[in-house]
Amino acid sequence: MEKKLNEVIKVKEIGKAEGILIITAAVITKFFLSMPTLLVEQSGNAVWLVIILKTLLSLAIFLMLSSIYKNFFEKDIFDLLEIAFNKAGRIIGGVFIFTVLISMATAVEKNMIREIKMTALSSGRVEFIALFFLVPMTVCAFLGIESIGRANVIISIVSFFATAIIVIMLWRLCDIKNLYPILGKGIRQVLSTTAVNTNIFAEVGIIFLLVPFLRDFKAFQSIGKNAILLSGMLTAIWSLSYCLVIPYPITAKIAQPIYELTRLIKSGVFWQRLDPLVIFISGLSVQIYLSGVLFFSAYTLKRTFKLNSLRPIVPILAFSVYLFSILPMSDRHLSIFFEVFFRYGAIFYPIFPFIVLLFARRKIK
Amino acid sequence: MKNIIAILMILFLSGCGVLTDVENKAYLVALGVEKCENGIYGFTFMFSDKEETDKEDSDKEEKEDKSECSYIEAENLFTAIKYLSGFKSKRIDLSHTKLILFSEEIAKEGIDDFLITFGQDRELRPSTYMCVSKDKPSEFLKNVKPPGEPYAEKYFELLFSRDDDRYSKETTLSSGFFAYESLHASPVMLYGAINDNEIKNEGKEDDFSSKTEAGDTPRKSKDRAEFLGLSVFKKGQMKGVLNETEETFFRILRFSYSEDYFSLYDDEKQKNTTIKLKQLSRPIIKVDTKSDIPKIYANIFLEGEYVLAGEKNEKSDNDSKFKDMFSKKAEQEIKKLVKRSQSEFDSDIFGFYKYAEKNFLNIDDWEKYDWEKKYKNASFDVNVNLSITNSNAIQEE
Repeated sequence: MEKKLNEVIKVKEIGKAEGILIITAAVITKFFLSMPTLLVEQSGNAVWLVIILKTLLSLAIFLMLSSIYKNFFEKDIFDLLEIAFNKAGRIIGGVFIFTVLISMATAVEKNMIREIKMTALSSGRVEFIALFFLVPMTVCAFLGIESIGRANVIISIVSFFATAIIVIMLWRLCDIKNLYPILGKGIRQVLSTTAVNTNIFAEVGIIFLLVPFLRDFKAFQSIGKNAILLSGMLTAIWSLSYCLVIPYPITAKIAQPIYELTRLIKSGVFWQRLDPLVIFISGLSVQIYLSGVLFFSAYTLKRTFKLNSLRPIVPILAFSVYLFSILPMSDRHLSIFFEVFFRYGAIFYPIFPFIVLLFARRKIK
Repeated sequence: MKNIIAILMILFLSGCGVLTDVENKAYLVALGVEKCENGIYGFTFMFSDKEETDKEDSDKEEKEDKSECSYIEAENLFTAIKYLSGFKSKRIDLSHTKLILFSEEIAKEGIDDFLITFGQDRELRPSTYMCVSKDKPSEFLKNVKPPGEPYAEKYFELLFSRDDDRYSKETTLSSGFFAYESLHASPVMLYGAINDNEIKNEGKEDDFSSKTEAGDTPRKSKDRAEFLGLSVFKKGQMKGVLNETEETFFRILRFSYSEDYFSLYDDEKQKNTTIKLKQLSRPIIKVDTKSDIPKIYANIFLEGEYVLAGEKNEKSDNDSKFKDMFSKKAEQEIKKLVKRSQSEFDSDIFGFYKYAEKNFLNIDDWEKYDWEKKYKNASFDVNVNLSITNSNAIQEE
C-alpha cells in the first residue's frame, strides 16, 4: 500500500477547521492594515462588488487547480517542481516561495508596527514593538503547524465576537447613499481590479504548502473552498461597512481604515472608544499570520534543500524578519512596498501553482 | 527555573514604564480658538480640575464652578500646548475634549487648517462637537456656569448626549472633517453666544416667524452661554447662520430631527397652537438630473400632537384646516431655506448631492455633471405631510 504524503515527510495532520482558519486569517490580516484603502483607490466605492467578484473568481480558479491536482495529490508542490523542472526547478521554485513568504511577513509586520506606533504606543521604540511579534511567532513556528492551528481557532473565536460587536455598532452610522455611484470608478475599473490588480487571495497559495498536513484530497478541496468563501465574506463585510460609514473619496485616503472606522463608534456612555479592540484583534491576527508564514518559510527551506529538521531554522528566520521589519523606511516607501507586493500577489497564487501543475501533468503523461 | 520565571514576571508584568496616573493628567474639556493680531491665534483651554473636584465631593456645601480656563496666544495649537506645559505640571490630554469653539471672526476668514489638523489628530475624538461662537471663545467659556453643575465636563457630556435633535452627529468633528474632505458636502457647526440676559419683546407670533439665534433667547440665568441655531460653511469658510426655525427644517431634511415643540399662530382663534412635532420617517428625496437644471423633490412626513389642555377638543373638527395651514407654512419656510443655501451659502448643506449620485453609474460621469455649479440653479419642490395624533391620558368624546 502506498504511503500517505505526511507519513513520507513525517509531519502531523491538522483538521479541516484549523486549515480553513489558517488560510482565512492569512487572507483577512491585510484588511486590518491599509488594504481597504488600496482597493478603494483602484475601484472607488464599488469595493464590495470587487470582493464578491474576486471571491467567485478565486473559487473558480481554485476548483480548476484542484481538478488538475487531484491526479497527483500524493505529491506536494516541491515534488511537482522537481517533476516539472528537475532538481534545479525545485530549488529555484523553493527559493521563490521562500522569498515571497518572507517578503509577506516583513511587509505585514512593518505595517503593523507602524499602526501600533501611531495608535497605541506612540512613545515606544520600533525595536521594542517588534519584540511583541518576534517572541510569539518564534514560539508558535517552533512548535509547529498543529499549535498554530489550535491557537488560531481560539483567536478566531475572540476575533469573531469582536468583529460582530464592531459591525453591529457601526450599523447606526451606515448610510446606503455612500455606495453611490454604484459602480464606483466604472465597470472597466471594477473588472480590471477583479481580474488583474490587487490579489487579495494571494495567501490561498499557502494551501499548496499545507498539503502534507492534510488527511486527503477531500480535506484539501474543502479547506480551499471554505477558506475562500469565509475570507471573502469577512472582507466583504469589513469593506462594505467601511464604504457605508465613510463617504468617498475620504475612503481612498485613510491610512488605517478599520481603526478609523471603529473610532467613530459612540453609542451611549458604554459603547465608545472601541478602537483598542481593533488594535487587539489586528495584533492577534498579525501574530497568527506571522507564525504561519514563518513556519511555512522554514518548511519551504526544509523541503527545497531536503533538510532533516526545520526547527533550527525558525529562530534565524524570525530574527531576520525582525531585523527587516525594524529597518528604517519612510511611510511612502512602506506603502509602495505593501502595495507592489499585494498588487502582484497573483504571481504567487494562482499563476505559480498553475504553471507547476501544468508542466508536472505534461511530464507525468 | 521557577524562580527565574518569577523574577522575570516581576520585571516585565509589573506595569508599563511610561505609565501616567489619571490624577497626573490635565484633561481638556473645551478648546476655544480666536483671532489675534499678526497671524497669531488665541487659544482658550478649559480643563477639568480633578483635585478640586475631589475636594468638592467631600465638602458639598458650596457648589461652584470648578473648571479652569487658561488663555494662550500662539501660532498654532501645538505651540500653545508647549507654552501651557511650561506652567502646568500635569500632562495635557486631549482625548476627553467635548467641544471645540471657533470665534465667528476666524470662522468667516476660514478654518481649513484647523479642520484638517483637528480632523486627523489621534487624541481628539471624532465625536467632539464643533461650534462657532458669536462672542470670543475666551469670554464664552468663562460664561459656561450651569447652576448646580460644578463640573464642566459633566455639563457638556450631559448636554451633548441628550436624546434630542439639537446635538446630532452632523456637528461633530468627524462629520465636519468628512464634509470638508468630500467633493460636495459642507460642514455645519453648532452656533453659540453669550446671552445678554435682557428680555426683548419683539412681538413674536409663532415659531415660523421666529428668527431667534444663540444669544437672543428671552431668558435670565446665571449661565449665560447658550447654543441655538447652526453655523453653515462652504468648505472651511463660514457663510452664515441658521436660526432656530431654519435649524429645525434643516434637521428635518437631513433626517436628524427627533421631536420638539412647535407653535403656529392661528388667525381665526387669534392665538398660538402648540404641537409636539415629530419626524415620522425618512424624507423621500428625489433628484432629477436628466437636464442641466437639476430638479429636487422632497416629501416630508411629520406627526403633530396637541399638547395644551383643551386644544384637542377645540381643534378636532379643524384638524385638516390646521394641517393645511401648517404644511403650507412649513413648505414656504423650507423653500426659503433651500433658496438661501443656493444663493447665500452656495453650498449643498442638505446633502441633496447624495440623492443625485444615484442617477450615475460611475464616479467619472458624476464628476462631469459638476453638481457644485448646477446646485445653484436647481429647482426645488417640497411636500409636507402632517398627521395629527392624540396621546392624552383621557379620551375625549
